[in-house]
Amino acid sequence: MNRCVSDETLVAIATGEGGAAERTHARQCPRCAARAAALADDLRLLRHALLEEPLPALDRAPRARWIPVAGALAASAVLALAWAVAPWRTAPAAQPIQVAQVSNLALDASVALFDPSPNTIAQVSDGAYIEAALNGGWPCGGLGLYDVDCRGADVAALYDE
Amino acid sequence: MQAVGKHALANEQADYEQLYYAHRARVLRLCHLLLGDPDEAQEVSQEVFLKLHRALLADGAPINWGPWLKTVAVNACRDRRRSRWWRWGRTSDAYVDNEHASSFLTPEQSALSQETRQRIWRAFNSLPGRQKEVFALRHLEGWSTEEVAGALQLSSGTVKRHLFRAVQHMRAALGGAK
Repeated sequence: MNRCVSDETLVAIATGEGGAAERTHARQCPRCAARAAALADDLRLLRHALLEEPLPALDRAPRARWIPVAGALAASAVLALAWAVAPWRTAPAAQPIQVAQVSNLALDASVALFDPSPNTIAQVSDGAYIEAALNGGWPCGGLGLYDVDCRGADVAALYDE
Repeated sequence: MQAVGKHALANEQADYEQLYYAHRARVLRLCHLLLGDPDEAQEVSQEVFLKLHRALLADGAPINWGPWLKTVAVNACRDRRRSRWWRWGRTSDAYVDNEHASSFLTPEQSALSQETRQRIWRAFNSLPGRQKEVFALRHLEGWSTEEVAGALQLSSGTVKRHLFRAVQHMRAALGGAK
């Protein structure tokens, strides 16, 4: 075996594993032997430090209690906001206009504009009133019928209907 | 009959005490390494020895108690780590170099500088749980790859990979200390 062994193989050799050829190479190759020696030193140091040296203790200073509370509040606010703007919470889509609705609307408009009954706004007497007003000024509107200046013809025209 | 029962109980008590004093320090140290907290390590090691007591009462079959205790300790520490986030607000994770905590040596006997110890300890504590377990059992306790694989229910290849990564991580931390 001529190629130098990988770091993984070197760890396996250092912990008592690895193939015979790799072990032989790690012993004979100066570069791999130096790597193996450095690894063995480190492992010895780690073992000593973790098994025999005093282990540090935890600092028992209590953590700030407000951090989890503030976190929970912030999370609640985000959830509430997300719920408010969620796509499934928006107004329902506009319903398509039905043909019957259009017909009813047209009928209502027609009745409002052209119905000759007294309840409707547009009346023939209004036309006559406007015509009289155009011809002779604005003589006899409302209480003006009893004015001295109110002309009889205009008044008659108003009450033609 | 009653005398035989009493005699068996006395034997179990003697066995328990013998096992307790033989393994207590190593189990406590292992728990401290895996949990990073001496108080929790004390609690978990007490649970482990309670299980030992029950096992001695329940099963008279001869068991290799050393590896059994360490396997139980590793599993108990893993369970404890999983439930730890519930106690998040209890403490900070800052470590102080408490010379009297679980020490086998006095500070005067210590061969390493405080900085090196802190660096190694922090590096070990920052390892993922599985890597800690594999490193502790394989390298510190000296188990074989197959024994570690059996105890942790992993494949041998996975144990080797975890060990390699843990060693790389620890050596990287050590690099600055040497």
